[in-house]
Amino acid sequence: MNSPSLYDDVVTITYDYLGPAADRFVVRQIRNHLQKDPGDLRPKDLRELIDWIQLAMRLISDDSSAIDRYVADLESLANTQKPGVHGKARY
Amino acid sequence: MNLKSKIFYWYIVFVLTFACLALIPTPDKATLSKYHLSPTGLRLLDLTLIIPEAGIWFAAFYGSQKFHRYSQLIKGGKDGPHIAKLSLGLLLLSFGLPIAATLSGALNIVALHQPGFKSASVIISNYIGIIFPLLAFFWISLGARGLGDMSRTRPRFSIANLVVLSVFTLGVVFCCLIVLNHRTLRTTYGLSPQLVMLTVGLPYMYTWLLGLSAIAELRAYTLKLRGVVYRKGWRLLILGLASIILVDILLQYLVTLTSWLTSLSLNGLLLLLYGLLFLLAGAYIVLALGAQRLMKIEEV
Repeated sequence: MNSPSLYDDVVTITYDYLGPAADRFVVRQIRNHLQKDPGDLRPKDLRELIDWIQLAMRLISDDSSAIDRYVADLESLANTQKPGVHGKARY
Repeated sequence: MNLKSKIFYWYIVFVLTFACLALIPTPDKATLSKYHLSPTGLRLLDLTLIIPEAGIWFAAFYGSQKFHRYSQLIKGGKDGPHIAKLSLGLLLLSFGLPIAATLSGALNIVALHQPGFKSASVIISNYIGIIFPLLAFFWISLGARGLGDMSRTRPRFSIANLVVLSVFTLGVVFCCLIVLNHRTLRTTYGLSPQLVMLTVGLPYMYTWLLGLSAIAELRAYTLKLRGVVYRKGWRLLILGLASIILVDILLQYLVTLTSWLTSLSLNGLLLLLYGLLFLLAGAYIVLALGAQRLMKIEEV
């Protein structure tokens, strides 16, 4: 059962941008846009999640450089995940 | 009815009551002759004070309502209970403004018709003026301490010392003013100097200590906060909160300088009042902007 780790990774990255609100933010994006529980997040969902997060961040902040950095961090997490393999492929 | 509507209706009730209490009774003859004004002139002057005062109450209600909404959104989070305490403190502070002003206005009218009630009216008004900031700052400092405990931050030693030194200085000057103005003390407070120091001075000093400590705690908390986007919202929020506390302390302090204030010219007095009202409204607006930014993070 490695799926929660992927969710944890997304939250860890988000923490650098949204601090204590990171967990709530990521849970909301997964539940509202992917209609999933955070624990069911799979590597194949990441691209779609990143798109939703990017959209949400543009509504929250006008700091485009921070948003770009955040998205780049999430993209690099997505690149380390092998589709179809659940869990921390990058480790 | 949700809290937003309730706050709005209370706001209307307070403004209308306050305006009626200030404008309907026959103006005091002593005030008219002191500032060389006609009854209509004094009422117009009162109106120029009621309008900005209503503006401040609106800013205060708006800011605290936004902050309350934010606290509701994050009540399940780790920081939720502490933000809720800050929010309660702010609601008390903002409701305290119109409650104190309205009750004081009502007591003044009673005292005009019952001269024997004058002292009691002054004493009650002063204690109402103390109780709301005291309770509000108590909850604000409790919330600030909770956030500090949660993030394991404490104000720097130098900052903590500065807080204590500031409260000592404010307190000593306050006591000196009481002693120096002991002749006018009966009209300002309706109490003996000893009673004023114990029952007015001490609670004020404690309130200032709570307020300034809360600012120091919140500053330490924001310095350690992670999250570039989140921190920006919090900085604005803390700036607003700290400004509200500082301006409120300044307002409370000015109450102690009543005899000096009454010696000011009408223009000087109005300038001072408008300046303070403007500062307080600005502080609540900054707080509302900060809360709005943080709310967006929790809503999107």
